[in-house]
Amino acid sequence: MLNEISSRTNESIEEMIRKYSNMVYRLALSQTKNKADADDVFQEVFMRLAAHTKPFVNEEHRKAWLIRVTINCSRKLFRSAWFRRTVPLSDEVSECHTVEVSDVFDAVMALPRKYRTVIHLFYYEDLSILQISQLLSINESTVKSQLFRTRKLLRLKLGGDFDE
Amino acid sequence: MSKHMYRRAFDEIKPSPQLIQDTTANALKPQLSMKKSKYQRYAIASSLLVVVLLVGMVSLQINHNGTWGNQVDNIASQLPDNQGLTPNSALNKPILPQGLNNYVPFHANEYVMSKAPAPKQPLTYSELIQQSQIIVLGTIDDIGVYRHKDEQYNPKASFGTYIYTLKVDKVLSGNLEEGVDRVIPIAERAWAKPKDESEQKDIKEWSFSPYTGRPNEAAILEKGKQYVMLLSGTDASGVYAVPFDGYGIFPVDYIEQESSNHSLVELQGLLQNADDTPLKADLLYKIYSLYIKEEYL
Repeated sequence: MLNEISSRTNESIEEMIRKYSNMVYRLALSQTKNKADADDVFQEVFMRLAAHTKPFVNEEHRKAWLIRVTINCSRKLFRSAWFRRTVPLSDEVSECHTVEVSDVFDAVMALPRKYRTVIHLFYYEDLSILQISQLLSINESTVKSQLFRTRKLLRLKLGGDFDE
Repeated sequence: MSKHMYRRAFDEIKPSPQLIQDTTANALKPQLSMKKSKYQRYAIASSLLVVVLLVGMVSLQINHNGTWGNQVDNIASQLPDNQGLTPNSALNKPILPQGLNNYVPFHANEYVMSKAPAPKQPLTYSELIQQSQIIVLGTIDDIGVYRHKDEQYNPKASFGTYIYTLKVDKVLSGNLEEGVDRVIPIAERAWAKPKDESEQKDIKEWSFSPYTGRPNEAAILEKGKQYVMLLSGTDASGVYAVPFDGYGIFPVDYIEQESSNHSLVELQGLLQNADDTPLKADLLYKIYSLYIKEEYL
């Protein structure tokens, strides 16, 4: 019986890693701007998921938990003296992009961290302004203004290439 | 272009198969053995730290006194007659002399006046977490009120320092040696007021309250109760500090009560519609306590 439960749990962890690996990794990279740090965050997030014993209400709840833990694990890195000495992301990630996409990627990576967070959650994870505000515990108006400023900054960097 | 281009830029980013494989393998490992190796690392690191500190203390003592004194006796000589201390049990029991070395008893004549600006609060949960290097679950073993010997008096308010000794039940995040008998000292500002304002010139009794933005039901900590404590690091003598004036201290019974009475969605809905600042602060603390439960407990 115990083996059965254990096997089922293990399967679900593997399944969760498969299902959410891209989401966690992309968010981690957008936060850390560094492949090695994104790798560390990725591992820590799923180790925490494996150690998480409380059940999730639904898949949406699990996804929100993973996003929040990814953001928090990434932010922990920013405090460390080691992180402050690291060099931000360079050609190692963007080399696989086309020139046009690479410009967008570089422009996004040059944004302040709080703007990178909201734009990623809004554009990539398709979260609503309300969901982002709940996830980050900030006002909806703050999310809106951060999105507005982010778009403005991207327009400045990319010229007319970046529209809503 | 915009969302489409953004998505394209990130679509091409994926974790390497090796990273997925390693993470899966690690996640499937029994937690116990993983923790054991982590503890072993902590034990080695803390043993080295203790050796370095001891060597430093020995050389300081020799330079200062020409001889090595008994640490506990030194602390005992600083211990007071308990005048004006509420509660005072910690002073009779120097559990962690090295931690309390820089703290002296809070005396009645240190009272200035009872005005102070509002305690600090984090703007967001992430800000709170960001300032917290270590998160522990522990039971309060003892409480006392002290004053840091180097602390300058604040002309606007009279502050002491609560020293809580916390028996660590579990390290939830960060690096702290975990063990059954591990007890750590934690400092929080104590706002001192005479019990009877009319007798300020000759104060006989003091009352203390934590200088914190925590709601009333979570403000005063009690011996024997379990708490989740967010700590920002230690001072030179190894006493742990709490960020945002102790806002990141959550009683476990409070967390349990709030999580059974409310859902996150419900609290977030209430927060969106709250106009009153104290109500907002109260709701935020509830929301953060639910986040803590969800993320760490």
